[in-house]
Amino acid sequence: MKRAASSLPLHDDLLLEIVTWLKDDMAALFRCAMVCKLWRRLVANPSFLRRCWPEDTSASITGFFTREQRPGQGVGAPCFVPAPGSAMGRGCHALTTFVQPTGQKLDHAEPLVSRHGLLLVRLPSHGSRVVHLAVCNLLVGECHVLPPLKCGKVDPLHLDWSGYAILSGVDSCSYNQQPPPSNDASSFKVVIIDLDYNLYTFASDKGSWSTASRCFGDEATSNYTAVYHGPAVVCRGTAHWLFYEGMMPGLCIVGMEAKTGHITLTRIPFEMDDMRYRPCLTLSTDGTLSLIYIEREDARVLIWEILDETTNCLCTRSIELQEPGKKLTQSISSLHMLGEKYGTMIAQGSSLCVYVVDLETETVEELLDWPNRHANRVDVVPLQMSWLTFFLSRLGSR
Amino acid sequence: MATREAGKKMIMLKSPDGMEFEVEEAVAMESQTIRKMIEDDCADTAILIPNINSKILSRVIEYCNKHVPTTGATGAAASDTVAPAALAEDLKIWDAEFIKVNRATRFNLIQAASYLNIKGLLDLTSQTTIDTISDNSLEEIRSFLSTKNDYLPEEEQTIRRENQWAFQ
Repeated sequence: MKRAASSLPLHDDLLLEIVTWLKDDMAALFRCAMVCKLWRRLVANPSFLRRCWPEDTSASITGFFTREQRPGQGVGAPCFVPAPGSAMGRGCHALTTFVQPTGQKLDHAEPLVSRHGLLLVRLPSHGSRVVHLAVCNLLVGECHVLPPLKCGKVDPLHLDWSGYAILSGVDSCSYNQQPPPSNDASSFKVVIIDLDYNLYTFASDKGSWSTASRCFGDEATSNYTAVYHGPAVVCRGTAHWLFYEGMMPGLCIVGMEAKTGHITLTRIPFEMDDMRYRPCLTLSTDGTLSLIYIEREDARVLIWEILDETTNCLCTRSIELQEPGKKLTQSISSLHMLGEKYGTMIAQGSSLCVYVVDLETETVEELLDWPNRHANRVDVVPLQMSWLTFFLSRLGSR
Repeated sequence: MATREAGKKMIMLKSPDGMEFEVEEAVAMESQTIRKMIEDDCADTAILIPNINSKILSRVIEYCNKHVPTTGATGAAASDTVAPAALAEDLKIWDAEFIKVNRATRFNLIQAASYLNIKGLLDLTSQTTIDTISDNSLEEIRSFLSTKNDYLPEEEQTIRRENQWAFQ
């Protein structure tokens, strides 16, 4: 390769060998690509980046969105904290350093759910019966403000406890069908399911909200008092939410197929003191829909696979929580879960320290730079994105 | 090959500008490239090291001399009396002094370390370069690398504005 712009006495291969050292400092790697166009060609190269981040996939949990909350101060701006060992290194980055909103401030936006580099946020609504949402596309740095959603008789405050889902174009392909070659994040669906099982759907290709529809007849919800709605878990093109129905024993899972909008309701006779453990939905390593929770007394994570045919559950994994090289500390033994996705769990201990649990390697690591000591589950959104796709998208296609 | 002291085999290294360096075989074998030549018996007479001038080669030899394992016959006394941690610390300080060189010398050292396949030296020189890149602004990196910026001003401005996370 000709080196017109660079006067370095180094061959490209050697240069890349050195630049590989920056694989844990993606910002510096990005600045390298901005040195000159030759460097961009060298760095913004999929095979080079693949070598830097061999574990990276579109399902990788790269970190967590939350809102800053310092003692004595109100809730601050949304920000991103990379997971330990992430290509982003350490730190706390404001959402606005990734996304440039046009005409809309994101300073008070509340992160709700993420998928494939898309982040759904709720914008301040100023007390009206209208919900303002926006979809931040982190891959390209754009922010799409959705048309206002009128919730009718539903109090917008209830939406704090509603189930949200964002589905990318890939999810709307039939299961078994090859997903599009590019990571198509330009088309998406936003789905909200509220406390009364009303469903609201926004499709980017239609550009409007569907009318609120009640998923099930009154019979389904007659005795219900919802306790907690977890974030959606998307598996095989279907979004799933977990519900507790106060008056009925067991748990209830609502599923919505992304392509057709078809709704399913599954009751599982899983009895437990839900207020104590508060399980949420997850996928097991082989992609089976499962329940996950921390049993605080024994400081272990339990995973129960949900068996489709019998709607029974089977405890398939038990993971002891232990900080590497340390004895079980007080803070570890009283962890409660803030969120979990694809084998990465975020949890908070009694000392308010926040930990990331890798369920595959069964290791616990403290998440430093965490800006929100009083987070609860709705305040924490794991970001699912491929750094490689992000990096190339931010540089490659120009 | 000539032997200077009993038990120590010596190797002659030649730079392209005609200088010759007599070094212990163990020191020369810090370079995996030279080790392979010796093991393959391609090194009966002096070894010519292409592309590396005498100034750089003498620095490389200086590095290898310092880093040759002291557990063998050479320097056994040192490892007996000094704790390994202290030795490592001493080596670290020495490395930090060693790498205080100008930019051109550093790049020449990287190239030499790569060609001669001396992992420790390549890591040291790369790490120092990487530290410079991660701690400095884009303008400083460009000036450090003496690289001409061929981005259009508006193009660069757009990428910077959209990617503030990388320029904080």
